[in-house]
Amino acid sequence: MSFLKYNNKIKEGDTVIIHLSHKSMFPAVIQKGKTLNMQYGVLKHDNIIDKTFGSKIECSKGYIRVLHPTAELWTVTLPHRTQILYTTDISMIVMQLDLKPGCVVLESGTGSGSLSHALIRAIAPTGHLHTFEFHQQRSEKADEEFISHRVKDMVTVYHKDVCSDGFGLTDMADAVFLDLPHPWDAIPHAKQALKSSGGRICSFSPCIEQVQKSCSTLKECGFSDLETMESLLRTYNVSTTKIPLADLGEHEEDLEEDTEEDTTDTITEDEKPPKKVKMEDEANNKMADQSKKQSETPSVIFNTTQPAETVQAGHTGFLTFATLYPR
Amino acid sequence: MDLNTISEGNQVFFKKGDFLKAVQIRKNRTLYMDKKKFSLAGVLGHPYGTKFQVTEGRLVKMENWLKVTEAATTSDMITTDNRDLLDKDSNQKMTRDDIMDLKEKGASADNIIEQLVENSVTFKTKTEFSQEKYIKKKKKKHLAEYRIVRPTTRLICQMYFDTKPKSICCMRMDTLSQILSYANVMSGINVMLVETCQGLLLGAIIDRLAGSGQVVQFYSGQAPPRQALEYYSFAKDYMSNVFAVPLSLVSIIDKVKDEPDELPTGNRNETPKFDQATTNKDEAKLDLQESSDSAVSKSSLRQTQREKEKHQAIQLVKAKQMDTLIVACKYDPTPIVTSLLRYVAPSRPIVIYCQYQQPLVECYMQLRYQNLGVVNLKLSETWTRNYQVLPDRTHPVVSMSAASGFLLTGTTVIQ
Repeated sequence: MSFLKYNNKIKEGDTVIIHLSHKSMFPAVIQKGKTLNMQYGVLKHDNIIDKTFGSKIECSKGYIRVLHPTAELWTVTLPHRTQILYTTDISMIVMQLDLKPGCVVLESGTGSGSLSHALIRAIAPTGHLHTFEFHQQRSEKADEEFISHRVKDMVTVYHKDVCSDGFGLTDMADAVFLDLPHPWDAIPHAKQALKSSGGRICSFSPCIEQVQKSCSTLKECGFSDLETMESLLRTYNVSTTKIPLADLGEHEEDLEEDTEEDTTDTITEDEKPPKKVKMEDEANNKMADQSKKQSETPSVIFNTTQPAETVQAGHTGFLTFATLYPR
Repeated sequence: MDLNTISEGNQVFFKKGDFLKAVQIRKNRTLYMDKKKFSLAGVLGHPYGTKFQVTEGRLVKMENWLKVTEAATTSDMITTDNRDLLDKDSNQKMTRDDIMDLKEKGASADNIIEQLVENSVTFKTKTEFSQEKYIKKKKKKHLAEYRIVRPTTRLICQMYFDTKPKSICCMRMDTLSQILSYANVMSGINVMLVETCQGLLLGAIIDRLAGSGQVVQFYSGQAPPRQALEYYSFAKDYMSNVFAVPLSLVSIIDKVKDEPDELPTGNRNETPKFDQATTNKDEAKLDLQESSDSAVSKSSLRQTQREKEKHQAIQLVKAKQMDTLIVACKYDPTPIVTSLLRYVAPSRPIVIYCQYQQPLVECYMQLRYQNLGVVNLKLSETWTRNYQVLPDRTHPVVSMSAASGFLLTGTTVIQ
């Protein structure tokens, strides 16, 4: 296992993602003899070693699955030391910074390393990430994780405050990413670090005042093509839904027919979309049966979406992108 | 050849604000853009990112390019408002003929704008914000200034989405960026792809693979969509890892024998190009016969090469170790996904994009309830809004892109 290369067999020392359900996943480092207590009982690491990623592993009270780590799975399972960036923002950042293998990227601050893993993935195997974190413990933790995830040769972690001390790098980066309380202090240093042939910059800020000041500084420093945006993900649950039909009284035509039998079919045939969907699985057969039984309350069955949560993320931060063209 | 320098034959973008035009640089070529005609020769040898101005039929590098510094205008300084302003054509004393006259005489855009401002009855009574906006608008119209930039996925996608979104199934950039993330596209992996986005998604994937890893592009119809690849100008070694297989062959993949390829290698003149005009009927059937005589015409060699690649791709897929399945096409995704899913290794991501939500709802139900070995199914769409950021004038941009398409993502597992 490496975050940069798939390997089918699980080995000792691997970071894996334990999957109980889509809402319940957590990372684990596999070690001989180790056990894990969780919802489905006791999980023995020895039962996982040499299995294939994606396998079902039995525990005392059920089973779990072991998944190969990816930057996305890491983002939703990593231990938070700070507020992190999620895949929606991360994806836009990687796209807007024009990242691909071979690029050199600077990141400040490292935080919990969520974005870092995605940056490394985009620029591997020939690029490099220089990531800066002013909190010593966090910078050490990030370094440990990069080693454990076998991506250490792609990244250098610096314990440094780039706002006061700069990056200490000149004319070498294709892209710079800033997630700082005062990004305007780091922007001139970023300009110095970017290649003289040009590069891209991104600043992520939750507050509009930060954005205004950053944009103003970017322009003063000679950056072009400024663009500020925000992106939000809307997730949906998919389910088979049944809604009842209202009693619209009897129509003349119906009076002559035996409505009892035909109720469900007739009504649904006359309905324009949504049509009644035939489903193979048990759950839906049950529902269809129930609906026939309750012929006093005919209904329409269809597959549809609804918002996954009633309250979803309304704001993470504003993303500002700009280009530095060659002087 | 320095990759940072604009050279003969390069595919570039002419950029002016949000306007992007793809152009291939040929020193003897003249271009007609924004009602002006000019030769391209002037850009050669300059670094990418240089700004040029059209002057007397040529492109000339802009010297002493002045930054447009937004004035330190704040609302405290505004002493006027628009209560007395009437919107009349007669507010501008210069006629269209006057302007054309000036242009013909070779007046610079700055000159023209100066004249427009002087001849505007209402200009002096406008607020300073309004004056800035007026000048910016006139500049956009009369200035023939372009920056030459290198195409990147971001710019290519923007161009397609702004000018012909339907040709890429209305896939907006934010959604495209998520497809690459969720599918864990990285150098070294093997990708199965079905797309009808002119090859934009294919190009984005090849760009991120950077020559390491393989892409098997399944397609329906005469040829796999690859129009967008011309903007990327990929090197030959990148393209040698990209294969095309008709979807109509999917049902026989498992029946193909496990044998090493025995077709003659022959001279590989060029990577066979697919474009929509190609009507090679042999694409429709798999020919596993050895080509008996390799000393034949070029087109026959190309055909043999394609057959060889198709065979190679099928052997690769057959091993059921593909690292991801990405579907983004105009066809109903469910049958495509259910027939290709078995070739994806366990614990790998699958990503299905659709312009419409309903087909993904049906696909979700199939994957969830038919025990096809997919967990973490998630159906989503993305909401993105741009902002205008100016002192005292920061607000979301007035128009917003309405549709981004929908994504269904999941992870394969062993049943």
